[in-house]
Amino acid sequence: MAKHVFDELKAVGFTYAGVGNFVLRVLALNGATVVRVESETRPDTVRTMAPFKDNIPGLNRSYYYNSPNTDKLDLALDMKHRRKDEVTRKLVEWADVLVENFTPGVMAGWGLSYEEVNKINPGIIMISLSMQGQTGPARLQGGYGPLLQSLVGFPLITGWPDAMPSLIDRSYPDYIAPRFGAVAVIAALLHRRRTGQGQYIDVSEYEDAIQFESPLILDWVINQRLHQRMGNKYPNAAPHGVFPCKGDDRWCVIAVFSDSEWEAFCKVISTPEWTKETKFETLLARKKNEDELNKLVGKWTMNYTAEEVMTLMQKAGVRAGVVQTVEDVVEYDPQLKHRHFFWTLNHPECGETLHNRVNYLLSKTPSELRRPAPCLGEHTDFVCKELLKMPEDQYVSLMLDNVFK
Amino acid sequence: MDSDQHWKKDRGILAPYRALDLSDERGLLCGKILADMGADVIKIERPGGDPSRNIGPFYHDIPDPEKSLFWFAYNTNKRSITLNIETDDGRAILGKLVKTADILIESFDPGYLKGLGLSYAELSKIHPGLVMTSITAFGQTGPYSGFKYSDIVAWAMGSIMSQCGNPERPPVQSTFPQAFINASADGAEGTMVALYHRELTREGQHVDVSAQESCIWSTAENVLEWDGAKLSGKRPGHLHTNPSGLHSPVLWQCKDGYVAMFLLGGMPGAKTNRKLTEWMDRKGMAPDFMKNKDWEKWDFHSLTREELDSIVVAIDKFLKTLTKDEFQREAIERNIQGQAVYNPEETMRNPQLIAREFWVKIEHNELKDTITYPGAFAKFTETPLKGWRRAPLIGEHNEEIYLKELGFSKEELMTLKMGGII
Repeated sequence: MAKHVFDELKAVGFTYAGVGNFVLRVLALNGATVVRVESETRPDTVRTMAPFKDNIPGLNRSYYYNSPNTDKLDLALDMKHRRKDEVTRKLVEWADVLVENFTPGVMAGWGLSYEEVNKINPGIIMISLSMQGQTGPARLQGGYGPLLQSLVGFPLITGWPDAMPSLIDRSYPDYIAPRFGAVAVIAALLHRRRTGQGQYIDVSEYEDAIQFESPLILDWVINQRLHQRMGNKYPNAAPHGVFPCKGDDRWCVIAVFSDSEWEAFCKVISTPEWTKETKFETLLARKKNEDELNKLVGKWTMNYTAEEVMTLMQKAGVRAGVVQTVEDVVEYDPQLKHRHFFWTLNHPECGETLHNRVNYLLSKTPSELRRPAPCLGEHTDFVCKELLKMPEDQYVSLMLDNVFK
Repeated sequence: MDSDQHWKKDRGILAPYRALDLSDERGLLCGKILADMGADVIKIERPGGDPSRNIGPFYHDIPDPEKSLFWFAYNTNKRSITLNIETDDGRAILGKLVKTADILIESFDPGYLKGLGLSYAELSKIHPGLVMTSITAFGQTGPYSGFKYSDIVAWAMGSIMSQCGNPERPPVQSTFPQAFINASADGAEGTMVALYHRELTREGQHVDVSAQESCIWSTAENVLEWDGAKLSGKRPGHLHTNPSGLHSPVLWQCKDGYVAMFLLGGMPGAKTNRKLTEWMDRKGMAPDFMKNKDWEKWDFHSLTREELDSIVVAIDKFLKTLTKDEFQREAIERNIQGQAVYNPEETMRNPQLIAREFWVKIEHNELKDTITYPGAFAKFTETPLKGWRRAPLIGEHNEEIYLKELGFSKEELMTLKMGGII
């Protein structure tokens, strides 16, 4: 059997929706034993979100849940039950890592603040991921990815100067913070190996998203400049943008930086007369007449499919790429197939489901997707008996008391 | 204090590790993340300085390789030496440094290092424990690995671009390109996974990051919606599509800019809808049909365009009476799910970030200035990120590394300098 980096690592998740589960996903896809705690009375909200298998709602049928939650075990636990501590205590004792992403204060309400958790298991690494951090006046403000990316200001630099700002997709920051979160957890694990010391990590999705635009912050601090939307223009390239191609809403990127790239580009489009005009002769001239240049380039690209434009340009050494849709990347992209980026698993209620692996290949310990996302409470019995070594009589008594629901 | 000691004292959670950073703008954030956690990250620049020092904006708008704010932002806490790895001496020196390092980060086009005899296979012979992280647009292998690219190419091929921009216009990248920032963060994640493995086994490995894949992950909702319902939605622009297929705004105009909020039906939206209506009512701007609505039972699946429009019109009118800050303050107080759309100026005076002491001041002695930077990406109770140092000057640490650590003589250093090697 292939070895995975985290084969010996144990993690428990009090998580829902995106960020917390995305951190757990990094651990799970690299071999960790990951137990998610859920409840039938309070299932992960994404279990109730469409799309569902065959459009029939059901807690185990949501693609929002099933897609990022592979390779995890699921324990059902009624967090309002007076005896729930018997189980959470054992989970905390068992785990190396605890991940949670509820609104600040929720874990404390369950007796699972870091202070309490640390008393049970001083070596544990606990990480909280939240919208804006565990402290500060806005700590309790709920929200969604599109709202948080707005707070960060991404829409102000995405789109056209003469139109409404545009979002970067939808939940962009929900994918930023978990990368930092995973880095932080692994760093803390290394620290623990050296010192035996556990710790608590507070991640604010807001603060992590700001890292993705730091130079713009500095430009304000130093030069009092605020960046605007500028379509696809880039300071030292022209043409640089997205050009219309054959078909409905089909586009290809072309980016020409150097003079030699410009010469190669002109050859690809058979050096029409306009390319020889002085107004397009140098980078400065091309930048000055960029709008006109872009129109002329678009007139050429319109005669080809986006794939043809990309292939013609790339053969000549010009930077180009199709603006791929989700269908393009999932169904057709030969690069992603070559690198086995998408995986399929067989889910008991949904049949074949599609998943991305992590975004890097490890040469010695490749990450793997092995088990489909769990059904709610699917592993309650296994987790209690095999992982937590709960005595049979205690397990039965808790079950009869209806704790596992 | 001796600068060597300065480096080693109390550096933080990754203090035992050294990384050689050969990357450019495609990978600088990866090394920065490690350096902020206290790793000894040595930026290896070509003689004259790394090409990414030419990326603007610049300090007081003076284009100068020592004044790139892009460079400042993504090289905090690193050291710098110059080294021309295209020379025999340069390669030999890199080999010596590799023996002292745990990690090597690079973002050259695939094949470039192999051409110099510096591929992972070769470097791992020098140091089997080395973790080498390569950050490229398409990865080291596969039919597109030889493609020419810049950030916008990876953004497009990674499908996230198809979800950015006004639907009636071409798709867009952001004014500050994002594809390789995503990939660099993934580089840090992959590096840490591989480093953990090395701690268990002493075995290094190659971490092969593809910016295309990084971009696809950042738009993963679209992958699952395709899988589950063959949905391939058009870019949202400033809108949100609700389950009935109708659009309503996420971004709204207010008095001095934009605010973000979106309408949701049933339980998920009830609290915000009710509290917003109460707030509008206090200002006499809530129409009766909103005041009388049972928001818990507001069914988004059977919603009509007319009903949605009438609500959107009323909210739009209301929001236009507010400033961003008024909206933000009340949204927090009333627990409404909404945010102001803040630019960097407003971000820097956001009380939330100030209360959390997010911003750090970093001294730039040679500029006689102290500059405020975004601070830690996480708060650790035992090993906080601290001791912030500005990005290095070109070859700032040549002497302490070449003379003190590698034991070259001053004469040799002169030879290396005049030979264009350092």
